[in-house]
Amino acid sequence: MKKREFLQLCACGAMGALTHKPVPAGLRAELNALASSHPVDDELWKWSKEALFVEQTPDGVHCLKCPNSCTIPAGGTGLCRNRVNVRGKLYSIAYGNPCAVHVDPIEKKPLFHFLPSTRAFSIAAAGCNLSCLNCQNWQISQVSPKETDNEDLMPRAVVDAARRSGSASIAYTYSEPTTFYEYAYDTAEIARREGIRNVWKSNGYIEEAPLRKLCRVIDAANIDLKSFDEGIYGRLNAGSLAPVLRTLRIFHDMGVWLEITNLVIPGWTDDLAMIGKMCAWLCSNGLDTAPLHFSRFVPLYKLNQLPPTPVKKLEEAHAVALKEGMKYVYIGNVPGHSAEHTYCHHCKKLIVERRGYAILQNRMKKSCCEFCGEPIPGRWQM
Amino acid sequence: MCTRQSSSAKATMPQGGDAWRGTTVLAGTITAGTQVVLLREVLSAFLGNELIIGVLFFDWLALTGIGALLARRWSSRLPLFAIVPCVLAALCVFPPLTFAGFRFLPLLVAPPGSMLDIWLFLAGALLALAPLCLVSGAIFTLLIRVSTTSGTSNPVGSVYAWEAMGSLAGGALFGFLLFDIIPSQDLLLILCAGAGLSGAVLFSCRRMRSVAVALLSVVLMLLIGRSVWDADMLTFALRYPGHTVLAHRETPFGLLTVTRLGEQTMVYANNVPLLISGNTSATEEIVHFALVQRPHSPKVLIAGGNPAELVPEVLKYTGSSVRCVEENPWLRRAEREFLPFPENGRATYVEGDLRSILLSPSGHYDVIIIVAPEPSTLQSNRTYTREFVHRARLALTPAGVLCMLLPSSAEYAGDDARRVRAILRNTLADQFEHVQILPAGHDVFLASDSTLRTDIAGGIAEAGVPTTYVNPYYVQDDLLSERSRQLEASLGKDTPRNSDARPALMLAQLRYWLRHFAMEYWIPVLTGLIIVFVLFVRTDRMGIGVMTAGCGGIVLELMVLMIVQVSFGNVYKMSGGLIALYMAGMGAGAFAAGRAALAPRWYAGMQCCLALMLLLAAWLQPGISSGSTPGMAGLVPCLFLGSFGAGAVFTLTSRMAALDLVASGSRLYGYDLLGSAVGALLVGPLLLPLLGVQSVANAAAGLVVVGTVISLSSPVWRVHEKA
Repeated sequence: MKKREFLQLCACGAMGALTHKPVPAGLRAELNALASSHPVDDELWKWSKEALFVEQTPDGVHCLKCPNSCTIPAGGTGLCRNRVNVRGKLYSIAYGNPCAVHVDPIEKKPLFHFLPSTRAFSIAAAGCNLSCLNCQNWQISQVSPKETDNEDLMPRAVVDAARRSGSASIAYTYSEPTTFYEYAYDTAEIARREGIRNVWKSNGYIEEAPLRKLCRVIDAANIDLKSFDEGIYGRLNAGSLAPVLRTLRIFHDMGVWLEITNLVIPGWTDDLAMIGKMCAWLCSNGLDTAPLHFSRFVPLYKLNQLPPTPVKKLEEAHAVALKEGMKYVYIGNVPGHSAEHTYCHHCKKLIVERRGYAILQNRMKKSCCEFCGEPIPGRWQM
Repeated sequence: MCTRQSSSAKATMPQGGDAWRGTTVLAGTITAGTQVVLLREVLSAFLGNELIIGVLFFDWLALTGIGALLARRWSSRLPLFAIVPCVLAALCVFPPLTFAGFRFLPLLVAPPGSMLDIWLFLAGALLALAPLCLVSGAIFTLLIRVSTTSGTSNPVGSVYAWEAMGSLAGGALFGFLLFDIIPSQDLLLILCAGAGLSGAVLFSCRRMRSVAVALLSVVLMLLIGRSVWDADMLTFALRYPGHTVLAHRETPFGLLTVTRLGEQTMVYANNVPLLISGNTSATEEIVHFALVQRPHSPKVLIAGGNPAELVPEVLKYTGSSVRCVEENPWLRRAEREFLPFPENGRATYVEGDLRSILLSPSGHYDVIIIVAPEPSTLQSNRTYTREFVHRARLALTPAGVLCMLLPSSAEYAGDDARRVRAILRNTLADQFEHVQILPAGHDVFLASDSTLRTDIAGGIAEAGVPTTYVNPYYVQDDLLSERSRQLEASLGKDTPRNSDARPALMLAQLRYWLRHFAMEYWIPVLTGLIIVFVLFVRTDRMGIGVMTAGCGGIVLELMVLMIVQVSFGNVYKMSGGLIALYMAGMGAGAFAAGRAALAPRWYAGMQCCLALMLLLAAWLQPGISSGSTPGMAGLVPCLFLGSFGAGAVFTLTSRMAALDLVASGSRLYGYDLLGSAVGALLVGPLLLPLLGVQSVANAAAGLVVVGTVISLSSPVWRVHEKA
């Protein structure tokens, strides 16, 4: 009998004695739920896979995957909760066991210039290398894969399922794919061989070497550029800005289609001067044609005492970005807003009229503006 | 009038005369008032839920008890003549300091707009309360010392009784008598300033002029500070940076603040955004997911939410009519002023308790939409219970639809989120033939005796209703159905049902909420159990009797408040009245026991009275829950007699005390409060939702009886009989 079962039995007995009634099954389940605790992370299981990008140090295994740069002693777990040191070797414990598997419109990521109106087979395993106060998916990002209910879906099976669902791409999303890098990479390799595209939806908090290797198999990425201030990155996200900027540059340089999301949070990331600096940096680093999505914040997780972002503020940010030289700027999470559409950066005419996930009107010919012939950056067709 | 005395006279002067009685009453009044004020601060700063309120009361009672116990050791060092003015000085200084700590510390340590981390709260509340509560406990001990020299026949019981009377006055003044006249924090300040002035006068009379001047300076600083700095405006600047504050009001339901940011108007209740203008996607989801089920001339009832935006969406359906319900009249006033909607023949507004409104007429509505806060308090949980769902079903037409909401489970629902959803789903499924959960911006729960559709966008297109968000462009029916199927499949059937008497959903919600902080529920529970164990080991037999009576008393109070709140809603004045009644019973019991014969049968009788009232309250609960007036009338004597028993037990025990009245009195007071503290921590947040009212009453009554048997076996009784 395990300790927990013993305690549960004692509690049931005591309550039965107090209430003079047999303890009902529902109550037993309730007690069990109250007594539940985290499983230990120092055991290998079916979904453990030796991690890439590590080096041995006297203090443990040094994980080189992300800028957290964890040195994990034997029996320890990385900050991302996804990598454990078992007897001196580092393992990812989320290989082939995603906790979230859904099919989404590609525009939900958001990717507006990448295979529009197609669907993305989306997977996530638990864990994240940041701790954002406003995390939408905190139930999977702030826990270990051993705490979530997972599916048995090895890379081959993911690709098969994606094909069956009619999806044009596989998206590694919801939590932070860098934490299930090995799983995502192997899946992306198979998918690419079979003509299915790969989409990386990430916080961009990844080291250079794994990122460059990843770029070989990834077709498009949407990176959350959460703010343009190191201090805010530290307080809001428990991360830092510089590695994310490096990621943006590398994706761009390596020819991966890149779109950027900036969540505008009232009181945190809605400073227009900061947004202006961010856009200026993007333009000066050749990212002016990368679509920039200003996303409306809604109260979530620990940041639940703030209001949603006023639409007016998003429109001001939109205007600042255009003024700084960004070519394609969108406003997200505001249904029916005119900034959902794509306008040719050259002639300023409406070329893709969107409503939600649908394209109502497409005025492009062979990836060029129908009106002025200007090429519109993006991956418009398979 | 005070007179000048020589320093040698100080030692032999009458020990405070009757001033100790007034001081005791004032101490009770100020501490009770501070409790009321701080409770509101906690609700604002920390999204007060049942667990947090339980922890706050636990901290308060336990620290006060510890203060009383600690003061035994050093109270004799303070000159007797200085005790009363020192107590008054403490009452002047500590409550405002504690208030400032609770008001501003969370704003300084928590990132803007975020929940305060629970670990910070636990540590912060303990630290912020410690000075006031330890001093408050010490005051009790000091006042016993003064009363022993005043010729009172039963000094310990008298201090206890007068303090209960003070608490009664504080609860009544702050709770409902002066509520509409003066803000509670200002009232507290006036009382503290009054205590300070009285203390300064007494110090002056004792020729301690420098202390008197210092105390007067503190009083002046408090008054000037209040007139120069507006604490509320300072708070707004920190809490709502960039907002324009349009209105602010302290209401019985909590703090209501209306702000504007950009084009948005927000109404905050206890600093959580309750109503937000321009929230198109949420508004459309709430209305159309339900109305698309019954789109033909629907009669709709909406409880909660922002009527200014919900009503126009309902009226898009041809022939529809809508009735909005809001129980908080202050919120209604704020809506009328800042978020108005045109009332006309098709849209009406009712102010009142939803559960009462649902009683008549039956079979009236095609759709009932409940937009309630998460079920993390007894108050919010009452619109998710089996009894509520049953009433809603009766108010619906045969094919009518009940729509309830929980926050979105997003891409994945963890164990605790699933448990919350499973309990609600199963509670609905007991009453309705069909239940459907649609995971979108909210998790929308639909329940009906007729079939429900999941092709929402298709339904909207069929109904021809123009929408911005709920349409095929944003809502893809096949994906929504698939997510709904996935969520449904992950929910267990074997869960308790959520009921008035056993709010299982609240427990599940609290557990889910604790996950935000990676904290397990057993941590506070274990804390309580360890304290129980230590107390039982360290306490003598008579102390155990007092402790179990203290625990039984607080259980009775919490149970009665829960029964009334769940059955009648946020009846603030009624709750304030019940607390006052409880304190009056305690005081009356303590006074009466001071005059009764000191016999085991009286002692046992008072303990049994408390135990019986616990059982009676639980027995009355089902009747009250179904709206029985005689049941409610029965609850009043039940509460009074139970608290009378608890007060009497304390006084009878104190009369058995040995020679050192100060030491034994403070010890008993400490045990009484520590027993109450454990009861407050375990009962409200854990045992009531886990076991239900009946079992908790049985357990508490059993505990009181066991305590009685143990204390009656004490040799003190035999010694006393011989004497």
